[in-house]
Amino acid sequence: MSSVPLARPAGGVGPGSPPVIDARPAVRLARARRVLEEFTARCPGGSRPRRLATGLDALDDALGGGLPLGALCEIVSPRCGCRALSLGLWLARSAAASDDRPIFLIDPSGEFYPPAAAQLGVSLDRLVCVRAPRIDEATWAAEQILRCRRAGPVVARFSAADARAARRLQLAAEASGALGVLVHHRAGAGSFAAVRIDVPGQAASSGAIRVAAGSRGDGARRGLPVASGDGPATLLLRVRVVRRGREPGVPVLLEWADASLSVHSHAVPGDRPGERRRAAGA
Amino acid sequence: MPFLATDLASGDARRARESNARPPADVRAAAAIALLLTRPCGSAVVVAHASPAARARGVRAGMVLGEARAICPEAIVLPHDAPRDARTLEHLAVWAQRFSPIVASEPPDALLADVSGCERLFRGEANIVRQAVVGLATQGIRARAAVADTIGAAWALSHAGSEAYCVAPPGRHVPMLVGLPPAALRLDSATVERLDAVGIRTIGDLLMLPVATLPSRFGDELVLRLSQMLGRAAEWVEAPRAAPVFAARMAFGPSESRDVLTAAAGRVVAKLCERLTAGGAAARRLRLVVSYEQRSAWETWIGLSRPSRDERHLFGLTASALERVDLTIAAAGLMVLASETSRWRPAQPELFDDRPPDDAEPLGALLDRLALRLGGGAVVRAEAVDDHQPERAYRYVPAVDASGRRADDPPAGAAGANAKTDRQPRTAKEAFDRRHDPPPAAPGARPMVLLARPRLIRVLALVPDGPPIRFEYGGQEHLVVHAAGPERLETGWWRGPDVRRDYFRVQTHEGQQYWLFRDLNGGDWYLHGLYE
Repeated sequence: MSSVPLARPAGGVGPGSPPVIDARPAVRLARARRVLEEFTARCPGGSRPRRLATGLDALDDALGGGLPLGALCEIVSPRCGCRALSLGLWLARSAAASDDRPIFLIDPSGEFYPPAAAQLGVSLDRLVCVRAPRIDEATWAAEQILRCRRAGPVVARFSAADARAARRLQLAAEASGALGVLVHHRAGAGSFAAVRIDVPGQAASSGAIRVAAGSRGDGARRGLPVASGDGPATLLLRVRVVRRGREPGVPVLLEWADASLSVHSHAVPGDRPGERRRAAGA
Repeated sequence: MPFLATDLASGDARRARESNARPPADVRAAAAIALLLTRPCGSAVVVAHASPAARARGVRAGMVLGEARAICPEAIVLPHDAPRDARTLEHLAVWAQRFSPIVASEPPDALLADVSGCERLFRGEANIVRQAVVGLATQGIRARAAVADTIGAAWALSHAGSEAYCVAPPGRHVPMLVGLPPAALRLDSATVERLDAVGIRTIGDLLMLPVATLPSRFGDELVLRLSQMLGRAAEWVEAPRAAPVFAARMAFGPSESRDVLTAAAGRVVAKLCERLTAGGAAARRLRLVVSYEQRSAWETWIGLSRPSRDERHLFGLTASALERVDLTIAAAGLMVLASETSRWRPAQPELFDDRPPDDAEPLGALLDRLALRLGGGAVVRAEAVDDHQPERAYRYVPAVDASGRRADDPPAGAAGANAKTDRQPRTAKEAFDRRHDPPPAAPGARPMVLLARPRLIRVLALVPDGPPIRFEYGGQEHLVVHAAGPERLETGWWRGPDVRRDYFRVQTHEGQQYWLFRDLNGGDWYLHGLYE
């Protein structure tokens, strides 16, 4: 289990927003480290880092060491309201933490709510929203941004219209080494993403997503209506990482604690498809 | 130019008298008109300027219009257009740059020029002032001009001298000034009246007084003006320089080919970038004009995210914009104008320069391209707004605002709501209040998707003020398994009707999270957002 406190929102979302923590020295240190890594990679025998740790150990393990750079990452959720976009922005924030490049969000619907991103720890100063209502324009914008080496990670709320468009996005990401995160509700037939994260929208009682809100959480686990919860809830989000060309990995449980603005990740052992569970009793 | 206002208005006066007549082409025609320019003064109308013909009849500035009409009944009366006079004076300052590169307007009716060294081009200073007076006269403006060692002396000779133009020999301008009235020193009327009251009628009388006694009797301004006239106090012509215009154009044979237009754009942009480089400037906004022989020109503007003079960048933007040109009719020319420029400031390199290589496209170029294709309003950055109403808690600004701040610039500081609380207290009272006031409550978790308009939904709740247990949305019924809330928001009374809402974060049996609220004014339930 790992615990990574989220940074406070830089822009704030209201009068009660917590103060900004100046992290510039840390940012500069991370940048210096990245310069050294890239310098090492250019040296003979050096290897260019192709993955970026998200800071969530269980998720990093499932991703094979971290987020793949120069590739697409799909987050697929069959239903809306399952925190898929939040997860995408969280990954982009992790990818952009080591430098000062902006995060691009392509939002065809125009319904993205920036204060929520600020609560997630995404600095609004470093978030560029591209509101392209047409799918062809959104795809064009994503490709242009992915090709720009000075741009940061891209989070797009759409799926590629066809395999050709998906391939173009993948090539653009490869050309610049950028990270592209596609958040949508259906797995594309012609997907070229290196990683797909499935966020299943199953019933809460089955354990896919459940809320543990203090003493009121038992009802949710029983699948019974719960009258009310006073405090902020903790959301348990069970995701499954599928790496291209490999078997689906072990499910990962992401715990979103709104009260402490922190995210934890847990591996769920023994839940691999086809793996039999065994219990021992005495 | 003592009669600048009436000279400029004489054309209007002539048109008022003879509807089909042309404006006076020379000084004599303008002088023949008795013209009064008026301005309101409280409830009365007074004469602001009077032409020489009216002055000859006894009309003076400041006289009530009725009295002036009684003296000069044939006079033409027009309202004084002071802004036009100011604009004309600025235009005349530009015109006078043919005599000196340093020319400044001295409102309301004078021009100052530093002609040091310019006499060689005109074969003497006398030719400069003579050509200036003649040139202004051809424009229908009567002028007097003088050249002297100091601005004060030249101003005095031109305003109070007996000749239309004169040149004071170097070092010998004081004897030419002693007979002039003190008003020629650019003094205010109160000082002039005080001098007149003690019998000082000329500058010569003034120079005979002990300088040490002047400030206490007549004020510091008199000593300053005397010193400036004598050359003991520094004074110089402050000439604002007009911003250079960076433009390039190319005419070509009428063509309906887009390749021709693109090729022309390449040449024109290259030429523009050369001029920007030579001028030490960079473009912030471009204006493209495509001209036709058989129709009016087509034009468009391109806003840049940051100053640029990169030829590849500007050509890419120009070529993209030119794709919208209608070439069913042959185009005949192209002009690219940098309508807004700023000084070029090269970026300071860092010791550990971790930026991508130089061949990488700058971020500003990417933003420009996105904005050009999708529209400026489509590439935005969000700013937090100190407002409790969720839909008003942020606003979008262009990804690059007017100050040139980019998305990749370091943040200028805490923005929005945090700006008040993050900075150090400025006063002891503020520090006391901050120590003793309870911290504001943090808002609840906000949804990542907020509907543009809250959607009315049907909700079933066990108690009227309680959370919902089921609701209908999207044509299906959702069973609520958990609800957090209410978070009550009451705000916006100053904008009209109160916004009073109880927000609930609910989770359905399918694992979806929604943000609902009950409108306390009407009791209806709305869906406002999704925790996407």
